[in-house]
Order: sequence, then structure tokens, then C-alpha cells
Amino acid sequence: MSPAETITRAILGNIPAPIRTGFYVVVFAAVAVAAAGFLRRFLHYRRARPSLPRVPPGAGARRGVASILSYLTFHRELRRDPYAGLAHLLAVYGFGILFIGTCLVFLEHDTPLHFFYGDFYLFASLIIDLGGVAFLAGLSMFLGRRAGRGDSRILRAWWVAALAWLLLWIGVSGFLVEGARIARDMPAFERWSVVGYGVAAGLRALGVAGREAALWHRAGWIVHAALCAAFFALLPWRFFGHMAYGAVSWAVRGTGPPGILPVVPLGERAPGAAAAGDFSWRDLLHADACTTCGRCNDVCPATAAGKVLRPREVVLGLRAAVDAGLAGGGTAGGGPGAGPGGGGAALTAFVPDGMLWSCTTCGACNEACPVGIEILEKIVEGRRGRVEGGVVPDAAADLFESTAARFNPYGKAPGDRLAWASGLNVPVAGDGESVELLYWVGCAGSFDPDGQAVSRAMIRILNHLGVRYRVLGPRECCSGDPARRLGEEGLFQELARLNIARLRQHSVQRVLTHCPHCFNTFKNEYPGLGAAFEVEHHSQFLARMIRDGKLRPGAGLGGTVVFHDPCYLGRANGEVEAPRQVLAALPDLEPREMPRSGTRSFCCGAGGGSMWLDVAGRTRIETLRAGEAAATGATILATGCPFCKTMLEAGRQSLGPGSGLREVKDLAELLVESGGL
Amino acid sequence: MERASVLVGSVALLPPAVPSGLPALPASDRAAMALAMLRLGGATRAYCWRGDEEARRYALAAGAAGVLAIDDVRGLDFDLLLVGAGGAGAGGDLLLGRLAEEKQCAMVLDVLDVQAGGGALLVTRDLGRGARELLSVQGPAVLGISGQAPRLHYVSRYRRLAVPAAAAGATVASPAPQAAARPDAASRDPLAPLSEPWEPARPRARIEGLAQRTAGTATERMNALLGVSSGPAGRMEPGEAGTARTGLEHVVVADAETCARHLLRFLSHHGVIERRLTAGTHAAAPPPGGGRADEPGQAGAAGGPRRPAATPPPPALTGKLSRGPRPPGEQQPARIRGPYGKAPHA
Repeated sequence: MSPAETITRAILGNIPAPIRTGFYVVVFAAVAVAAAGFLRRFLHYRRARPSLPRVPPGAGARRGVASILSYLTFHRELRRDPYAGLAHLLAVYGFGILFIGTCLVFLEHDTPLHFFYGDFYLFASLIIDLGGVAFLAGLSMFLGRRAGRGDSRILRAWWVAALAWLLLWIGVSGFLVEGARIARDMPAFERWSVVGYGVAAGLRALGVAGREAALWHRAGWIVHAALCAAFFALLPWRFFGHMAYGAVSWAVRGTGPPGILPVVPLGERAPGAAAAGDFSWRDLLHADACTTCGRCNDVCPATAAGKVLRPREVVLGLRAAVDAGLAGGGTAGGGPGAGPGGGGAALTAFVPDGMLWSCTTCGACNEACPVGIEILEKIVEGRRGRVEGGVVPDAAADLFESTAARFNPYGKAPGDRLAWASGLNVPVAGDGESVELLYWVGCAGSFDPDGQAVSRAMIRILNHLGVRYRVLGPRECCSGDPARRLGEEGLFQELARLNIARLRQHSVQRVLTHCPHCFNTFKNEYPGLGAAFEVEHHSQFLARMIRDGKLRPGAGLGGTVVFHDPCYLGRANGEVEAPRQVLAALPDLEPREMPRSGTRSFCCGAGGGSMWLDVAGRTRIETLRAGEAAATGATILATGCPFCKTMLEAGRQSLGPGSGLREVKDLAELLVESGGL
Repeated sequence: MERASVLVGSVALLPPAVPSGLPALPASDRAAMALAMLRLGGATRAYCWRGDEEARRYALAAGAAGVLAIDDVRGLDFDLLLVGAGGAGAGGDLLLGRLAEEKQCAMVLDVLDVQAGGGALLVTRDLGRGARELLSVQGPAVLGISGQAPRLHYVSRYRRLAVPAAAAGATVASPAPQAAARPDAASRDPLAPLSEPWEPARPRARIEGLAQRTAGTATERMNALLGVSSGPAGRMEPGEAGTARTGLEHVVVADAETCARHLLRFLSHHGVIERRLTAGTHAAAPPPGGGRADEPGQAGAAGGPRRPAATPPPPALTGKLSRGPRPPGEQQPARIRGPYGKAPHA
């Protein structure tokens, strides 16, 4: 034995053979239990519905592996919450180092390899101890946050705290075992084990040394080993599972911006999910991956308004439904209200209807989730299940029936679609006429007084520019967005196919619309039905016209303006610059910004059919948002969506005249009122 | 109730020239299906008019055990029939009245809700202006479902589309002779097999001042207007087939035809409408207010016991109103109407 080889430690040297044997049995049993748990889950995923095609084919495993490595290495998503991000980073990195250290010990002891001595041993001891410190620091940060009372985001469930405590005790017992081992004879080179040596010194100070230290070591080792075995066995269980599923969930997350729903194939199976068995494998994986961090709750407008919806509880409810289904309880029955009936536990037992119908489908939860859970898709899937089961709120059923019968959710006669255009020169496309630029007015632009004002402003701008365009007039019909987001997939697809056929009939080359919902549907969802149109939101069009010098706003406005980013323009489609360019072009208007803006905007409360549905809360979403706008000191609240305009105007009025907000206007209206036309 | 059946039909909401919506059933027909499925339970049979694909799909999607396509109302076979506006089609409430008369069963219109229990049906009827009437009805019966009935169930578009077109076994041929498909609801005359050509008058009746102002129900006011007794004499005994009793002790005891006859007589008596009867039709009918509610064949026919076969049927309503088609060459009498139908001062 070389002198370097004396710088090492005896592995399992103080552990009697029967205990060693027992240790191996227990560890293998724990690993077997964990493997069985994962296998059971995996088989459950395999039985589930196929996932809707959100990941583009060809992305494949390379993207998945790269995504997992990048996710674990950089923690980019987690660091958006600095405290939690740092705590998680410390805990994960620390855990990783400790795990690698354990693997090294295993290789040294149970394989012919011999490397754990000398300088490598000293260096490894130092790194492993530092890893342990990081691990304990991270866990202490988590537990410290849980101990505080102020954070309503914390899920105060015992099984969440159990993981943190278990890991903490594994770390603490590890250091105690190391300290007891060193305390037996205190070799000088063990100073590299900075923490262990300190613990050993402490034990020595308490009179624990020699044979007594060996006994402490043996007892501590047994406890440590038992805790580690328990940890392995519990890995697939509840919150523990996020350590395995989280990174995979991130890797299989849908590509593209949040809020875009993939096309549901309408085959023999009804769309939607009424039971856990109706969800796709990816939904089930997502449910298992939830870290319960509550960031989704933090950003959810419905939660902020005190409505019953808590996005995290939707995911946890789905997980509970899966667990109940696997345990053989709560099967979904047939008959009216049962929905698609794919089997398993009924979703309504775990996710109340109020939660499903409160969602504004703004997509903020999807965007906030650090493990890529598409919560919005699960809510819409649940809504589809309720629609297929026939159990929908009256307002939603009214909307469906109005949209089906009159092609607009307002229930107005299609012949009145151009009532707003009285006195304006609005060119309507003739039968079969080829249309180069179609101005898609939308239902709000046709029937809602707030939207009609936008339509009139747009017509004035288009006519001023001398652009050759057409509107469809009475032939226009709802894009299907409200119906789709309320779960009526069949109606959406009927309307979509009708619109696609009409647009093809007119050989439409470009579509211009001032409604972000129509914009999003045409741009992102109609392609799933085989129709791709060039679509432009009016903010993009106006910004382009200003850039090209074709539109020169006047100086008729004064004051301060703040822009509210519509969810389906900013978050869903990433367009946050064009509206600001339009506002910047308006002289005498001082732009302001709300804290939540751009792609991290806060919903106005109208999305996902909530314009028509009204689930009661403590306050109203539009009032919260108007309050945020008023807090900037702006006098004008600008937006680029007719629904946002209606909601924010209601919010402004509910704030009263003291808010300082003078008016809520669309970009097009501001341009017209600036006097440049 | 052994067999709950529903007669459903779709309507074209807008003239075809205007781009209209997808084919749809009126709210009353949807409510009729939902009531039959959810309130009455059992295997619900639905009827639809031949060629009305949307109604057939809707009924099957809603969960009907089977849908029978019919060409005329003779194909209907039921213990309890729920009918919506689309199912009644152009016949309207008259179709229900004629059906009730034909089948000699009770009829209730403007039904908001129906519950089965205790061998009878508990029917909630809309009296307008928020007033409700609770009736205990024993079958057989025809219920005209109100468009204001609460929505109990929504049938998704997917479910409707998923119903196979003219699935074998789902649609049973009508017992009536086969006829060419007539998808246009407006061209259908559901009353054709039941009656002689008859055109209901739709006068702009102004009855203010004629009716006594009461605080009672619409039934009471109507009974008072028609002179039909609403006292104990008109009340039917419990357990009688086809009776309709209110929980408010006010009894509707007249079948549709009798009511219609009284109403026409009343209106013509007061000069609201003009009427010309063919010989031997209503000469024997009592004057308004003079009829007894419990006279066989008149009041109580709809709600009372079934008439024995030997009893002569009530006289057919073959009277032709003066508002019917005018024979060629006949001149319309000059009538000068002022505002609101009043003759101007000479």
C-alpha cells in the first residue's frame, strides 16, 4: 500500500456483516418499490390518450435531453423567483454532489475499481461536504419560507413539508455519521472534510470518542441508511415525484407560445375529459410533475380577483383523480353529464366546475410554471368534458346556441353586422370577388358599441390610406374563439371550416383584424385545420403604416398613456412592440408602463368566454387591472382589443373619477382622434 | 308514465337569403328533450318530421332511445308527449289541441317543468309575468313545452355531428304512407290529417274592459272571460284519467276545441271578429257564460274521463271564418278603420 493509499477511509468498516446484508436488502427493496411505482405510472401513461400534437415532429429525443440538461444546469425557469430559484439551485446542486459522492463510495467498495484515496479522496471529501452544506442551506431556505406566515403561495400540506424534512434529516444525519466516523480517531487529513471534521470536534468536546464514537457512527449510519431507503421508495409518490418528472415534463412541454390550443381530432371519441382516464399521457405526466410552487396561483387573474380558481389546485386535483383511479375508486359513470367517459375517477370530484369556468385562458399560469405544465390545456380539456357531458353554465350554453344559430356570440342577427358602418364608405366583398386585403371586423367590432367604435376608426384609417380592402359584412361569422375556449370544440371546428371556406371563396390573401382573439385563431389555430392565412393585427398594420410614413398622427391629444397588452396579442403571440410604436408616434402623449406588461401582462378578465360568463369573486379582474393602470398616473388607458376595451372601461368606471384615468381607447381610435387623418 | 315521447323539430331561424346560422332546434324543443331525459327517465322515444335531419340528430345525441320519422301526426303513439315549438311546427298550439282531442287526453301548454311522482305528473306551467301554476296531470297527456323552460342539458355540436346520418335502427319508418322528404318545415301541414281545412283567425283582439279585473291567475281571468265556471263544479275527481288540477283550487276544464269554440263565439259575440258558420255546426253550442263546465263533450273533455265509444264525438270544427279565402268575384266590404282598429267618427 502506497502512502497515498493510507489517505482514505474504511467503507462500511464499522458496520457488522448482518447489518450490511440488511442494508443491501433494504436498499434494493426500496429501489424495487420506486421502480414499481414509476413502472405503474409509466403503464398508466401508456394507456392514456395520445397527446395532442404540440411538440413538432422531429424535435425528438435530442431536444428532450438537451432541454433536461439545460433545465437542471441553469435553472433559468426557477430563478424567475430569485428566493425559490436560489433555494432550489442549492438543494439540487447539493443533492447532486452528495449523490455523486455516494456513487463514488459504491464504486470503490463494490467494484474492482480503486481510486478513492490520496489527493482525490481529500478533494472529493471537500466537495462532498460543500455539497452537503449547499443541500442543507437550500432545504433550510425552503423550510424557513414555509415557517413564515406571510406567503399565501405556500401549499401547507404535510406531504410537501415531509419531503423537505426527510431530505433535511438525510443531510443532517449524513454529517453526523461523518463526524462520528472522524471523531473515533481524528485523522489530520480529514480536515478536508470541513463540516465532518467540525462535527467530530464538537462530538469530541462532548466526550464522544473512540469506541463510543464508533457506536454513534453505527447508529447514525443505520438511521441515515434507513432515511435514504425511505427516500428512494417514496420517489414516485406525490410531491416527491416532481424530482423525477419535473425535468421530463419540461422537456415534453409544448412548443410555441402559451394560450394556443392544438386542434382536437373529432373522431369516434368525444373531445374533452370528464375523468382522469380521458387525459393524455402528457397531461398525466404534467400532473405528476407539479412542484406545488404556486407561481401559477400568483399570476392567475381569477385567483387575484378572489374567484374559486387556483391553477395549482387544478393540477393537483387531476393528480388526485389519477391516484384515485389507480386505487380503483370514484369511477365516472355514464349518462347525461358523464362526458366522454374514458374511465377513471371523475374529474368533478377533484376539480369543481367553478374552477373550470373561472379561467380567462390568459395563459399566465402556463408561462409561469417552472416545469412546463400546460395548465390552461387541462382546464379547457375539463371544460370540453363538461360540454360533452351537457353540464355547462347557462351563459355558456346561450353563447354556444347564439353562435351556432346566428354566427355570433351576441345573438344578434347576421344581417346587422354592418349596422355600425352607417354613414361610412365600407366596401363589402361581392359574391366570389377576389379580396387582397380582408378587414375582419369580428363579432365585437360588429355588435359591441365599444368594438364598433374601433371598427369605425379602422375604416376611417383604411379609407384615408387608400388601401384596397373589403369586409365580408353579413357573410362574416365568429372565428370560434369564445366557443373553443369554453370547450365547444365541435362548434369551433364547424365555424372554422365555414370561415375557411368563405375566405377561400374570396381568394383572400391577407387578413387584417383589430381583435387579438380572431388574430390568434386565424394565425395559430386555423392552420391546424389546413388553412394558413397571412394575418396582421391592426397594431402591426398601423405601426407599419407609421414607419412607412403613410400615416402621420396629429398632435390633438395630450396627457399620459399606458398600454394594456391583450393576452392574445402579447403573451400568446409575442407582439408587444408594435402597439408601443404606434403610441410613441403620437405626439404630446407621454407613455407609461405598468409593472405587469408585455408578455407578462395581466388579463382584463374577458378571455376564455369570461366576457359572457361571470363567476363571482371577491373583486373584479378588470377593476384590478384598471387600478394598475391608474397607479401609473396615466390619463389614457390604451389597448388593442375590443374585449379589453369593454372590460377596462368597466374597471375604470368602477374606480371612479378619482383614479385619474380619463378614458379607455383603442390604438386606432387614438390615431383618429389625434387629428392626423 | 310508461312511455314519454318527444316531438322535436328544427326551425330555420332566418330566411335562407340571409346568411343564417347552423341548423338548430328552438329552446322549447331542446327543453322538451331534456325534460323527458332527465326528469322522466326511462327510454325516451323521439319523433321528428321526416327530412328534419337536425331534429333527428339532436334527439339521438341527447340520448333518445330511438327516433321515429313521421309524415303526419297519425304516426304518433304515446302516453305522454312533450312538444316544443319546432315539433309543433306550423301547427303551433293548435296541433297540440288537435292531438289532445284526437287521443282524448289532457293538454297543458307553456310547461316549464315536469316531474314524475305518485302515479301522476307534477307540471309547472308558466302563467306569464313570473306567475307559475302547479298542476297534477294524469296521463295520457300532451305537454306543450315553453321556450322559457330552464335549460337542463346542453347537447354539444360534436355529439350532434357524431350521430351517423340516417343510422339503421335509429330511424324507424313512419306508420304513415311513405312520402317524399320535405325538409322545409314551412311547407308542412301537420294538421292536415286531423281536420278539414280550417284557418284560425288571428284578430287583434282588444279585450280591455271586457274582462273583469281580478287578482287571480290567467286561468281564472280566462274562465271569467269565457263564462266557464271555475268553481267546484268544474273540478274533477282525483284519479280520473286525463284530469288536470291546480294546486290553487282553480280548475281548467275544457278541451282545446271547446275553449277555441267558446273563444270564437265570445269574440264574435262582442264583434271583435266576424264569423260565418256553415249549417249545423255550432248552433247547439251554449252562449258564452251559459255552458256548464262538467257537461260531457264540452268542458272537461280534455281533463275528464275518456268518453265511451258510444258517445258521439264532439262536432267537428268545420266552420269557415269570414277571414278565409274569398271566393272569386266576391268583393270585400268597404271597412274604414281608424287608428287602433276603431271606426273613425262619422
